[in-house]
Amino acid sequence: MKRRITELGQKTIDAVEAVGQATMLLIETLVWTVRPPYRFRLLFQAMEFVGVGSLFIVMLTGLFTGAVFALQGAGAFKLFNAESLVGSTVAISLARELSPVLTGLMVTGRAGSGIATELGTMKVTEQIDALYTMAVNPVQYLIVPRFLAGLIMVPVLSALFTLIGMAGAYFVGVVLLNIDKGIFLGKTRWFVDPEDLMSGIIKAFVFGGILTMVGCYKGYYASGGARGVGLATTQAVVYGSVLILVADYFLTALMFK
Amino acid sequence: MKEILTPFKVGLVVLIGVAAFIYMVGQVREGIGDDPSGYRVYCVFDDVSGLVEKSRVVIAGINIGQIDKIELDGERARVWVKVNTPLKSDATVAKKQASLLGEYYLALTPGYKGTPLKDGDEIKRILTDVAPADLVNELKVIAENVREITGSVRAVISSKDGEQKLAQILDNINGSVAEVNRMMGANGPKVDRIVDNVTEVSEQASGITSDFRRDAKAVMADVKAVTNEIRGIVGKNSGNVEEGFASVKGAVSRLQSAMDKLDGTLDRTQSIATKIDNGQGTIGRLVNDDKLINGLTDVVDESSRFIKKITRLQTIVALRSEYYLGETAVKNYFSLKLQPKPDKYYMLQLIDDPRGRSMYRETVTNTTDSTKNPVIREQQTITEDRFRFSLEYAKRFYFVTGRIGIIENTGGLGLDVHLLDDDLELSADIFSFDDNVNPRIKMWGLYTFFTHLYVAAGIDDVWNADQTDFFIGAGLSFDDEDLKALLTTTGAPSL
Repeated sequence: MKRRITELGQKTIDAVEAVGQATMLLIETLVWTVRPPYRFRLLFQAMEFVGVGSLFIVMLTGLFTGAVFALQGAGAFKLFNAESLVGSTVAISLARELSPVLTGLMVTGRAGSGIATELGTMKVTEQIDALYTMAVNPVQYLIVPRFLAGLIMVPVLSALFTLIGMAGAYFVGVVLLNIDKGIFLGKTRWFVDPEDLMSGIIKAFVFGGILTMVGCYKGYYASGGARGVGLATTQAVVYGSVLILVADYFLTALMFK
Repeated sequence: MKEILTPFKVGLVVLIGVAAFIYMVGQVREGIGDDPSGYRVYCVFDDVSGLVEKSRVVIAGINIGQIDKIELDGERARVWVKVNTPLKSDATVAKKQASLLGEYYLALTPGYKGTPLKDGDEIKRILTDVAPADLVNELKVIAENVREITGSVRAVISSKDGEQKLAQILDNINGSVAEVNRMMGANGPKVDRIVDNVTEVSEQASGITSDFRRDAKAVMADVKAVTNEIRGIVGKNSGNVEEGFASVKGAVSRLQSAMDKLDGTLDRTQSIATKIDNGQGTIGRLVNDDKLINGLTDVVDESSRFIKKITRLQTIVALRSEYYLGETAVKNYFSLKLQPKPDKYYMLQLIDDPRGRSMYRETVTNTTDSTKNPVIREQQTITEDRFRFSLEYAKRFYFVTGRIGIIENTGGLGLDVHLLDDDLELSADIFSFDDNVNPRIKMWGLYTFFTHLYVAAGIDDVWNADQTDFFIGAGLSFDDEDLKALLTTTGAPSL
């Protein structure tokens, strides 16, 4: 019994400690972001990994998300003879919600896990300690480029997601379901605002920061050999995804109250 | 190689992403909300349920704007509308339902007269539309009425009395039919012959009707009359049908000769029409000459323009009395304004002025008669022309009207400044340049506080200190519409 209570206490302490560690890592990252030297080569490599590498999977997800949404929406709107609203519904849900969240989740699965594995391996093989000994700050060398890459590339991918998603919705709605082309596009233009697109981009920006930070944090503090690296990777994906969904709620509440 | 490729690939993806974003923003920006030529007007509704911000605003079904904002205005709703087409002050607005789902929009008409609406103006004319909900209520009332009717019918039928009556009616109908049957049987051959004759007539008639339906109509009326007669004869006395039949025959032959004549007339008409068509004869030339028709069109255009001018001409009749405080006298005005355009008018004014026009006369008589004074000096101030007139031409620029012409029998100038939606008018006249030391300057304010009633106050002859006087006044003003209404309700004076 006593052991149980101790265990519980220890877990609580660990959790609080983890939050503290992550916060400190974030602050350290932010500080090192603005301090020279700026390592553009590393930044581009990270951007290629996070952005270019995820491009294909994000586009594929976007195309089918838009298509399936149009299909489902058309089914529902048909009950009211209001199929003309399919385009605008898909566009608004894509721009505000689906693009940033799904892009965030896809990039977490692909790049967040990759970052955690890479950094975790470096950690357990003591490469990070080696950087220290070479007077290179590992936060600046490893985390800052990946963090910035997430901030820049996820919004870009999210914008592409929306466009491709609309293309999918257009294909299903206009080509397959014969919804009037003019009404489909007209209603979309009428109902969607630049603010909707902007809110999606802001969300994607935040999610980009979250998923890279979680990946870096889990990798940076990985321990326990190959098993520890595996655990760090899994946790990076799980925590990253959950945090994105939670943050999405609060961002939505803030922006559309 | 890789070092060059990495930035390139990254840059490509970023550029495509940014381009996608800009493209999408450009696509959805097309709403009227961002149109620089748009402006905001508002209208106040009793009920705006169903209207939301960004709802459509249409003229003739075409989107010309959207609802910008809806706010509470007392216990009504003020709807701000952003539009991009010019509207006039008599524009109307109506809330309409787009579908049974409850999607609403505003339908505008731009208006055709009045001042153009500016940013922040109100559309005052609200048309209320029948909402489907009201329609349902209406239908409910109708349904109740129908139920009442059917109820009373049922009451009539189901009662013993009603049943009896119905049975009686049916019996009567039965009897009538039997009677007709019997008669038809008895008079069968005769009726046959009548029918044959009628067929013959109608065959002849059909030849004509195919060409001239209109004339045939009259013929048909005759035939109808004839058949009526036949029916009358048959019904009255079946024994006398033979006799009646003979007269029918006579009628038919008369009809036939009439038709022959008609035929001839129509032939002639046709030949005349052909001639006209070919441009023969006077009428033909008239009809076929394009120049003539063009000339005629010009004349019609011209006269319609003239008529328009006349109908645009507004007549305003005004009466005004001013009470001069110093002189304790009343000055009356009667004015007739002819206004061909809103910014231009001619005014004829008749004035009854207590002051009149003063003339100073001195007569000196010298005499050598010792019994009298050697010099007689007579001084006379003559006041004449208590009755005066003004004839002015006025032109308005924005809120200022300039007047020029004859003011109170002398040349003069005037200026009006219109304020508070033309309710308040500040005016100054300068005239009578040589009667006195200085020209007469009159300044006054005129406030219309009720549709046709106004009050005035001012100062007269400002420049000649000894003559300066203050006055207050009031008056009435009527325009065409009022006069029309007055004349139709009180009756025009018979001349």
